[in-house]
Amino acid sequence: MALPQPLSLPQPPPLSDPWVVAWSTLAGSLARWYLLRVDYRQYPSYPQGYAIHLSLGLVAAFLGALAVPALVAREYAAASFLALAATQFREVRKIEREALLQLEETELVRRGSAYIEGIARVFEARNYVTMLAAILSAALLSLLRPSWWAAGLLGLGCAAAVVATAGKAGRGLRLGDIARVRPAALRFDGPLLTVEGAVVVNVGRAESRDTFLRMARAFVIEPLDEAAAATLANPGQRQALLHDLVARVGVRMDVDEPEFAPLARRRAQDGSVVVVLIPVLQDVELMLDTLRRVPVLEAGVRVVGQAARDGLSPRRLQGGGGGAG
Amino acid sequence: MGDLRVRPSEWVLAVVTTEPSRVAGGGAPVFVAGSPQELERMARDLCRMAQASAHEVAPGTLVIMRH
Repeated sequence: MALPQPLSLPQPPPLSDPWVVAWSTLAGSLARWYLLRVDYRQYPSYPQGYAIHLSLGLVAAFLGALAVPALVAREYAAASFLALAATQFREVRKIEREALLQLEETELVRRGSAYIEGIARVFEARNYVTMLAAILSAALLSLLRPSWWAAGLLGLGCAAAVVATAGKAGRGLRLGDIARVRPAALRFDGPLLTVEGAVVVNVGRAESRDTFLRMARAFVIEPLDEAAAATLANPGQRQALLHDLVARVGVRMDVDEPEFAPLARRRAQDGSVVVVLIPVLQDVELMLDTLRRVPVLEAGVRVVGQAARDGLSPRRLQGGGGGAG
Repeated sequence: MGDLRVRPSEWVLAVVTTEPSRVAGGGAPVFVAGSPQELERMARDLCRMAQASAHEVAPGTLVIMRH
């Protein structure tokens, strides 16, 4: 006499490795896509740029996702592909740097090499973030082996967590964090264009002086502490802020009118920086907002004052355009 | 353009003045203007041609410089 079989639903098979890789690759790629979306530099803004970075992101995610099942299967050689990926991403940085340096020639107001280096690094770092998201997702999925749909959610969760953490850590300082920005009045002292006592430039022609008086805008950036003053002293940092400003509100100058180039000059007494430009868009609020959101460049970061006395390496105080690597 | 530093090799491209007695020697060509209006016009044209800017060193004397 046959015993009655207990009623049981067919168990779904545990998540197989190909699915772990697939979900994790997707999670990583979505992370890269999100990072692309939050870019504020108006770059890349064309489909070609998106295609390049999304494809590289896919490769990064795939390599990351593949590494975990490979390790689990004791295929240690496969994990060495990660090293290959690192080389690849350094290449990304190089490509970004070279592309932007090439474009410098065509810019009315240049980004400056300090800014370019910063941007190139961000692009490299984003690939590592993508890879990390994929690795984390693959590790979790390999450990938990959840059901098919839960795996998708878990992968997305991993990507979101990594992006949120990296985004918070990677945002860095903005000019608004280290300085006060306010509009100021400009006037002429003979041929000298001055803003609150700081001499900005000698304008020789009366017609140009008139143009400045009618259309130029001036701003004062006051550092909150000694370190901020040192950062603002960095010419690369000032070039970057001029570029960002012009990218948002335009500039009236043409290539044969260097007189109307936007300028950022340092006031020796208090280390504040005076900015003068002739914008196309006369929107003071937009300009203030832009200045506050200018990233503080790694090359411009200085450790001075109390922090330096407290034993941070004095080497960082010396040298012009510094910054590691 | 927009560079914060002056490249020394391209300093003074020309001098425009209404008072030639106040300009002496040097490597740059000196253009003598007959009136302040002509000074202004010459400076503007030279600036445009040389992609440079004019700076006043003394009343009536401008140097055309590229930065």
